[in-house]
Amino acid sequence: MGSRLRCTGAVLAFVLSMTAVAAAQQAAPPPRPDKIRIFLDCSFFCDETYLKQEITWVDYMRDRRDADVHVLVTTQNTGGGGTEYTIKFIGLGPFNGVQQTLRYNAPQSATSDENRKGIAEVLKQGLVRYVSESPVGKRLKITFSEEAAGAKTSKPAKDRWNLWVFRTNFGGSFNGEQSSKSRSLRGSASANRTTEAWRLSFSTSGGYRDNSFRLSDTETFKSVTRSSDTSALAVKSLNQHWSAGLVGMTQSSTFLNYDLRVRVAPGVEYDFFPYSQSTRRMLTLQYTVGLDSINYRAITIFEKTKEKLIDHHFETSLSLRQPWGTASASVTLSQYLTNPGKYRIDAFGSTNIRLFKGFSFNVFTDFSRPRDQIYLPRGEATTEEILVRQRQLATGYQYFVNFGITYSFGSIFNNIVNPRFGGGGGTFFFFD
Amino acid sequence: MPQPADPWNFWSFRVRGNGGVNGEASSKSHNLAASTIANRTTENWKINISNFLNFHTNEFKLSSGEKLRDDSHDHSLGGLVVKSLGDHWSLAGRGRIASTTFLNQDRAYRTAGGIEYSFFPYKESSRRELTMQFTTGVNHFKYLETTIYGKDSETVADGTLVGALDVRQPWGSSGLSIEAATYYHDLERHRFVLNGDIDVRLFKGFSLTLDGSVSRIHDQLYLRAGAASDEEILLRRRQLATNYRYRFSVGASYTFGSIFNNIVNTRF
Repeated sequence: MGSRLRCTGAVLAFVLSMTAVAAAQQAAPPPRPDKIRIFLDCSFFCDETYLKQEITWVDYMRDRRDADVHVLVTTQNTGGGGTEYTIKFIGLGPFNGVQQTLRYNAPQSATSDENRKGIAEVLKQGLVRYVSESPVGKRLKITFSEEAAGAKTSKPAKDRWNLWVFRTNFGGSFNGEQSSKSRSLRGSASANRTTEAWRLSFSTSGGYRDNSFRLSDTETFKSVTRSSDTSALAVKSLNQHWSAGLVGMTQSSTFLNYDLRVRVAPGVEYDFFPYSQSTRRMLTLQYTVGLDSINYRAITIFEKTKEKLIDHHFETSLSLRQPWGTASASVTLSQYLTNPGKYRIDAFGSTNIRLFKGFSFNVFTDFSRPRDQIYLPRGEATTEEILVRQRQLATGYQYFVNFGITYSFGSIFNNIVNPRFGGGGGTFFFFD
Repeated sequence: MPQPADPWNFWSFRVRGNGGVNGEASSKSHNLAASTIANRTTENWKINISNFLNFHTNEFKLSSGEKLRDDSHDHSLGGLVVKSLGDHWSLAGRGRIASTTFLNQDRAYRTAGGIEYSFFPYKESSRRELTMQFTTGVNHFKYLETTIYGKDSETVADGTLVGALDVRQPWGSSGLSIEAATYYHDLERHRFVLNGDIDVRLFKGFSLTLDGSVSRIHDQLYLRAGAASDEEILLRRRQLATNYRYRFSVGASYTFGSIFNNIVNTRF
């Protein structure tokens, strides 16, 4: 399918270039000094990191008002259980009124890698229309070779924010009926600056949740949980394989009995593959040594209300994204150096593989041996606290395993969209 | 549309299974789910047949040493057939068999027919959709335990009217739906549901999401006689009596700073 798409793309590129030339003769837009700027409006459907790595001959803007082209991607489920991506190209500014809509049909059996490749191909085809009218359009006619990728590293012309990006989020939810209600509020803020040489990341978040249950006419049980976190990260790229970093964090949590925990840890990371391949494969070793200062909410089973400790973490992690599927695994060892008997081992693995046509298998596992529960508060938990999982309880192990299989077969003609009576029929309004 | 050689004649099938276990010293749980879906979608007809099985078990060890175990299930088998009548009208038939501990239903059988009108041609549905739908059906319920109305089983007919609007445009998306449903044998046994959501970019870098639903509920025929235990209430093991339900959520995000967003750096 890939080769057919590419072929279609070439023909399309040709036809569209010709149209573009004709359009340019009618009303030539002012020439732009740099690359076409696009705003990719894709919710969670697209692998934006991948697209940025694959299509390097445009600039990706954070807001549509800065862009020349607004790329709006929407999806619909198709009859065969696949997904139809509608990719709408909306010209802005000098391209005002230049619109077109292309579609990409992903079969149900497509892996995420095939999906993102397919979307990338269609995205390239649609962008030809705009790029061909820009100075970079000349390159487009000659070749799409990776030569264009060199342009990625060229510094953006003017940026008064010096590559800093800030994000804030706020959310709340309120639910209720006669015998129970819950409320939750959360907020977060972050500041990031990412360059090839440095990665700086600061974030903070806080959350509040309460649940009330009316147990009888006279008795109500209310559970309240609060948490807040901040983190700071500075990473210096040493070369294609090595990085040095400084990690700082603070944490407050009713679930873990932390009034305030502060950790500051320098460390190094080694990637066996060059970092430039990170969307396809990564195998890293990371080692950090940290200083911990912990104030507890309630006195612990070790009679502490606060303590200062030194710890170290060693993490090995693998992540693969290939045409056959995805896989990731990690093993983390952490230990308090000031109290070597208190350690934790955590092993995590997850994979999503297409074993044969139409058959995919996924599994997610996490095993921990937490011998570091120095935070446990004294005293027994009540039945209500246990049932609503109000706080972490003493345990020598934790496990989580989840697996799934999917097999799809039948007609391969899955391009038809029929929205009548609300899609799948799996949604059933009646009388829950 | 020319019919290409398709040995499956537009039928497609999906079988899915998943399960999980998790636990620590004082609690563990496991769940298992399986589903089978068969679909045939053409411009003219749409057929869906689906089967869902769900099992869930939670176990807790209390401070007294006592163990508490909670089992629940939710199964269903359903079919939907939709006939297209031009660009604006559709007819549908539905059937369903279900069993749900949460709703005290050992068996719930339903057969129903419906008609839908779309104010815009259906082919515009990915951008805008405004529909009115009326469905009427007959149900037979067999309960796990006797209900507050003294029934172990009953056969009742109902009707439901739904109006729905969905819009998806470059500025964002929005949806609104109103549902009114009643059992015919006793018009006091009815419900109204209002759902709305909007996801919009208000100005540069700022987006806002609102999602809410309010219901007036007077159709809980399935409620078990007798009080629920504290454990059943805390674990939300069964639907309890209520006249209303609400759900409201709000989310806002604001992003500013550098407008360039090209560099990938996944270190640490």
